[in-house]
Amino acid sequence: MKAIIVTLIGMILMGFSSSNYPVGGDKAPVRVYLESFRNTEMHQLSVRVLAKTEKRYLPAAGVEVVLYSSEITDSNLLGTIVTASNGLGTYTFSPAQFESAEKTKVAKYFAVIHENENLKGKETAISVEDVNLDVRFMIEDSIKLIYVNVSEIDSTGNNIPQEDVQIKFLVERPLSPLPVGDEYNTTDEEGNISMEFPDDLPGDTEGNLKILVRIVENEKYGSVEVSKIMKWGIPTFVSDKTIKRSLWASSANAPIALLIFINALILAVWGVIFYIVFKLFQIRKIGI
Amino acid sequence: MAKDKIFLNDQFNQKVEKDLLAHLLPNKKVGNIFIFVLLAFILVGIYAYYRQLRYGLIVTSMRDYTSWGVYISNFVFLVAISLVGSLFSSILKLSKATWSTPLTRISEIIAIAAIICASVIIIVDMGRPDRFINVLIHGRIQSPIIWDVIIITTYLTISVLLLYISLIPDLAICRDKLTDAPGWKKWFYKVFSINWHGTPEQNNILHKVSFMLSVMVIPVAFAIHTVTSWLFSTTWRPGWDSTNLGPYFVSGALMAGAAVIIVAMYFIRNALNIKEYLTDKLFDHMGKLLVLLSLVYLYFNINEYLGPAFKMVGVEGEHIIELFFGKYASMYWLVQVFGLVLPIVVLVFAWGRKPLPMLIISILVLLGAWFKRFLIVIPSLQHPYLPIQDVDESYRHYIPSWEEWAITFASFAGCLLIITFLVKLLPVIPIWETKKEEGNEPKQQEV
Repeated sequence: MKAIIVTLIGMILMGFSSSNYPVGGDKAPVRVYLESFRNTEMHQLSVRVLAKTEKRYLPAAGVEVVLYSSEITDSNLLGTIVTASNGLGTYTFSPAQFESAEKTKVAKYFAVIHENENLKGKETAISVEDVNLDVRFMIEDSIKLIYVNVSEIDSTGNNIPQEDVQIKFLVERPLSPLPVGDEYNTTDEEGNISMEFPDDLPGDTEGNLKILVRIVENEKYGSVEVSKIMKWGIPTFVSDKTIKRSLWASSANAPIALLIFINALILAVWGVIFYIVFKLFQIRKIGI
Repeated sequence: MAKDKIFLNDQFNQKVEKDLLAHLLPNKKVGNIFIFVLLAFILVGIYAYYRQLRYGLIVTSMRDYTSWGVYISNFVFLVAISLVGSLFSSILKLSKATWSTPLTRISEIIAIAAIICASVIIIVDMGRPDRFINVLIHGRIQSPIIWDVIIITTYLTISVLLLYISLIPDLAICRDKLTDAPGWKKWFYKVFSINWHGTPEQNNILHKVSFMLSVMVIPVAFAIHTVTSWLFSTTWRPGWDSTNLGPYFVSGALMAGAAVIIVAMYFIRNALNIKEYLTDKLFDHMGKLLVLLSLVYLYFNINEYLGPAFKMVGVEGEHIIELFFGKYASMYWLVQVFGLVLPIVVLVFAWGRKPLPMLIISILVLLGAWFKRFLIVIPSLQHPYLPIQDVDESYRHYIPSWEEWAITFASFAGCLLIITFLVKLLPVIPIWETKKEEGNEPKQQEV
């Protein structure tokens, strides 16, 4: 019977358990993916690490990844990150590193995982080319339009239009950006693309929207973003009710009447319960 | 003359003790095969739950639309059943219906078993049960889910106290009389009879706390099922957007509770051979009570459906059509006819209130009550006010997976196992109250 109970508890606990890579025994092979994201204000490198567990590659948490630019030497060290529970980690360039990267025509970045007691070592590299993402916001006949041109600058300083570059149009929202327009937009042979911006998007109290134009996960350029705040939204007036104590507020802003009522009820009922338990002890004492 | 009376009373009391303690003697092996069958169901349920933990809620048929499936309908059913404890230990007791005294302990045992299994099933419904503690730590007091957690904990505590307080004198009788019981049982009776000797002072305290609990359990019991109904009525779905849901749930619960008592009475009186105490007359009383509760539930049923069916507004109308004529129509009408109307028709006749017809009718009521909860939960979820565009076809249907059925049956088995364990451990009819009322001090007239 004991064996059955132990087995059952073990089965249930197995259901809860999950490990990213084996501890002790063989070292797990890893995969590492590196991506670049830059806009006018910052440059980030995102790393995703997977480790092989039970025949599958799963996100690996707590893995130290060392990042370099140009080549793997101490003088080119960018920094070190540790992956989160989803196997992801992000490194943001310092202002000096950002300034230096902006001047580079073709940059190369390395992500290195050093071998440790659980994981095998691994390194990966990406190269990121400079690109000119020119975005203009226009209103023509009351129609809001976004014009985009993608080009590279050659060694003689001339603009070379880039064809078939995929562009995404987005609007910043509290949780994640909201895609607007068509799902797939690619530049023509002149490197141009335009989109008609919708009229019905709610903005802040003044109708401001932060519009993002992105080249997403491009093989040559990585992800590149240009953003601008435009008064192209519908002004939205947030009701005062949301910040008052209401039924739909956060727990810290629960209505005081409700707090008093529920806590009084709990105290009253549990007060009686504790009184009754006390009386049971009295019965026991009397009987001794 | 007085001596004769005392002698007769003593004889009666000795017989009561002998009859009602008989099943607790070590040589009585009542229901061992039944226990093994229940354990088999529970083991299959545990395996299904292991699969659910290992692979996630994807092993169930619950998807984005039907996110509350058979688990929640089963939870509502078990919470409904648990209300029976308050019906007998409080409502009937306070209204001086002394005929119900033999049923108080059975009702309290069933209430505890049902509320424990309801609590377990709600954890089972969680995709990440290891995060349950977060509900308590980070819960919003405005959320009906938090109210439900508070009220279920409170009701379980009160139900345990209700059972225990009325048990103390009987545990003392067990302590004194069951000298041949196994060691652990003797230890249990000794410890939990808390030095009870029936002194006037002890009696006084016991009556006082017993009365306090009887009064307090009524609002708590009403609250537990009303709050459960609020989980639905505060969610914006067709069929749930109703102010009638609280009394509708409570009346349905009391009806299901009465039915479960009848089923329990039938099997317990045969298994323990105590027909002298769980009499045909008692079945007759229970039959009348069930008719009354069914009529009240019928009234709330009419209230629940007449308004929306008259107006037929939007998705509410679609929901009504699906229940009355659509894919749930056969289940809906079977539930209404066999689970509600038929019991009323049969039980108004004296022949219908005999034990066997009562058993059959009560099983129909219970089946109806379970499927009614299924009809309350599932069809409403398949008609959201804001449907998803190009929704996956699997979202529009819900047929529980084998894992869900296995866990549901395991919850019933768990409930029956707790009841069986307590029946094998405790006197199922209050001995001290039987002795007092029918023997020494017949204070109250049967009503």
